[in-house]
Amino acid sequence: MRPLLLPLLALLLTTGSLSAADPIKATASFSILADIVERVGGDRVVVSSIVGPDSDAHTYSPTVGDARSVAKADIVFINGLGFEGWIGDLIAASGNDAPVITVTRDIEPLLIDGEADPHAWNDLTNGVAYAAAIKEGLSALDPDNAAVYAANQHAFAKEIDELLARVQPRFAALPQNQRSVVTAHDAFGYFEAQFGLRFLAPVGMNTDAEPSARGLAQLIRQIKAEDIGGLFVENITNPDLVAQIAEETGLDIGGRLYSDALSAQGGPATSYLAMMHHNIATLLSTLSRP
Amino acid sequence: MLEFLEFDFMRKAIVALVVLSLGMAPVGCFLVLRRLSLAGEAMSHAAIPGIAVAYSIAGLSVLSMTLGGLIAGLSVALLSTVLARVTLLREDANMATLYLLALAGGIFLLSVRGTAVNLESFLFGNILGLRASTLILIGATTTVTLLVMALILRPLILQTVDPVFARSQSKHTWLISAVFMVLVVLNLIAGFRALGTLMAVGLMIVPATAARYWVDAVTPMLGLAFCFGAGSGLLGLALSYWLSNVPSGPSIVLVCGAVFVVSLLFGRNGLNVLARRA
Amino acid sequence: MLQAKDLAVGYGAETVARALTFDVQAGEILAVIGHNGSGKSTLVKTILGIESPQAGALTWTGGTPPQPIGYLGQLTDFDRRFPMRVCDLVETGGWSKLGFFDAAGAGARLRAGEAIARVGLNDIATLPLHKLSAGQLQRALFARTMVQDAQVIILDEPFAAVDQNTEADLMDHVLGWVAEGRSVIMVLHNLSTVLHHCARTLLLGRGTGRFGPSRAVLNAGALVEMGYLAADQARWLTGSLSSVTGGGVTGDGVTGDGGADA
Repeated sequence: MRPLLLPLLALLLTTGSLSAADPIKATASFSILADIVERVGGDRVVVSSIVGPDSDAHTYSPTVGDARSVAKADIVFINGLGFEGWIGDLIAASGNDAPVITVTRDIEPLLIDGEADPHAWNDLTNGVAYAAAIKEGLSALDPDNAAVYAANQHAFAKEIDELLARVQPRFAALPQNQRSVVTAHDAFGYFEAQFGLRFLAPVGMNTDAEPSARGLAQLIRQIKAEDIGGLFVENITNPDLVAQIAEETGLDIGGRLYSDALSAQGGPATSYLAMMHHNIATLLSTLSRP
Repeated sequence: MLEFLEFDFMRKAIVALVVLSLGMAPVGCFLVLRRLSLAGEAMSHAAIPGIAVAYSIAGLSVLSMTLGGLIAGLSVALLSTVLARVTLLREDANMATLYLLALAGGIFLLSVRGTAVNLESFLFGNILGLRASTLILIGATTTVTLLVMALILRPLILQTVDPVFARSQSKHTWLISAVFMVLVVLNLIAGFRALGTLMAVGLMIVPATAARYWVDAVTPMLGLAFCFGAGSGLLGLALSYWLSNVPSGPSIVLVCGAVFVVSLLFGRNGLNVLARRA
Repeated sequence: MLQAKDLAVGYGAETVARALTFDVQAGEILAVIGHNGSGKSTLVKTILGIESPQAGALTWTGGTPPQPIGYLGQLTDFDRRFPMRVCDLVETGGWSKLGFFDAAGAGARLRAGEAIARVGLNDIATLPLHKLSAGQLQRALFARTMVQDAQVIILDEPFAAVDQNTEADLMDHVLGWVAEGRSVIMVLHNLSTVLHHCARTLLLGRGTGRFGPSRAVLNAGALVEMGYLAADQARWLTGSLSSVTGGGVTGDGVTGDGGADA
């Protein structure tokens, strides 16, 4: 026994130091994605987000601090589908050759006029797909903990399934004429598909685009002619346009939806699931009213 | 053709454009004549530290951030006027330096504070989404502008065409410059709130430059600039309504630009001059 | 009208000319002569109140400088592209007398019209500034100075851009002002004009100035000492002046009958 003690001790020490290894530094391109990475990675990852809460990734300009964060990252997660127009240059500039995982790579995107809608996360089943892509990325980098990641992803998927099970019937129960809503920009295409709603907006998929008078006029006419269940502002866009629509159509603003970013600390949408929960609750409460 | 008048947002936009042009025309004309045409661009950047400070103090309040932007813009404008009076460099060089400093300072403050929010977007609005508060701001700005311009028109003209002579007649010409810069910032802030940055500066300057190609006296230039500005605004807005997917803001500036090109080609003082000499 | 005692003028920390003592009376022209950099324009700006005296005293009879003060300056900062016609420019001469709330009125336009006629610019009264030749602009500014109707008039190199005929015309106007009892201070380069029309001269140079009757001050020796002329230029000048005036020229001054006494 004695001669084995020393090598055994050495083995114990080294495995001990391996399991106490520094957590993986992950950088996600925006807050919603960062939250999902944190869910899957747990204690094993330290996540930083380039575009923070209540911020618009469509029009974001990265800073030197962002380049540094990307440069120091062990792994980078991005949404893809044209959501982060600035990310390619940022990664190239950081000179880092860490793996870059595009979490939408296995997702069939919605096409609007031939262009892909990047807001895939607004469909909860895509949220599961995001987590799966993240799990694969982390496991490839840190195979020793693959089981941990798989477990976390599984738990996350389970929460999503439970949420869907609870809310799907409520959406299905909505009368046909209470299924249309107006938001600030076309961010909810995937949500629309998942829950059988119809979303209208004065601005297209990219918040950078400027509204045209004709587009706005057509939208207002449509709202007046049809049954629109509710009007919603968003956390990242200027609420003026929606407010104007409210004034002109006589509809009230039913609340605030979180579309492209989480809310700041203390807000109702500090995680992906909290955000989806809040959006669903807000929509249902407005649409369920007679 | 005119059925767009049934929409509240169109009616508001029309009124806003006409009232705003009324104030912007005289200010824009003198901005061009005093060779400060890029001041508008500078002002939007100079406003950033004001917005950053206001955000630190009062959070995402549009009113406080507008006020912060106003104070910062005014400070840069007034400081460049004072420096132009006291030192060798003229207003444009001082302003360029100051606004760059303000811009850098603002970005620094924002980075240190650690926020990724695009605060500038809160300073800028959209012509299709005018709130009551913005309309009041426009009305007040134009009223103040017209009253003050009526008062200072003569000294302003003199100080622009022959500053040394003006200085020989009165020690207080620097005050006229300062008051004028205040008007510039007020109109720019009102313009930013109502129209967004590109449109505000465009609507202020382009009609003025177009007007210069037609007339050789100040009062006609002011009147013509107003006609060009309001007219371009209305036509641009209408085009954005009649044609599909044409954004209103750029549409208005493009009509201003078209008016400018026509003026350059056919105006009395435009390229015509070259043809007549040849 | 105006009296300077031991006056020093300059910009900021720099003194350009010091120990200047001179005066200007009603009904006379004071000529100011000097080499480039001798402080002529600085002195003009100090008299106008644009710069403050660095030392010494500048006193006006009546205590305060007259309002308005007639001024025709050099055109370095003048914006020729400003949208203005000749008649508009001339009319601005009367603005110093108007308060904020006064309207210009028909009287102002009339006075401007008269002045334009007197400088011979009637034909181009509605021409914009950017179409004027240098000489026409100078005449227009002269008209503006006339409209100013000031008791004290300062002209800084008023004939720089004009031909001899125009110069003679404009000089007649200046003499007219003098005959009306106004005071004129003129910065000039043309020694002949000075000697013909200006009773007293202030010769600036070498950081200071000499003041006195023109013929006494403007002798060849002084002109060289004060850096206005080089020695050989002085010799040539006194030689040519003597051939023009027909009088004898000495190293100390010009004698004999020449043009009109100022």
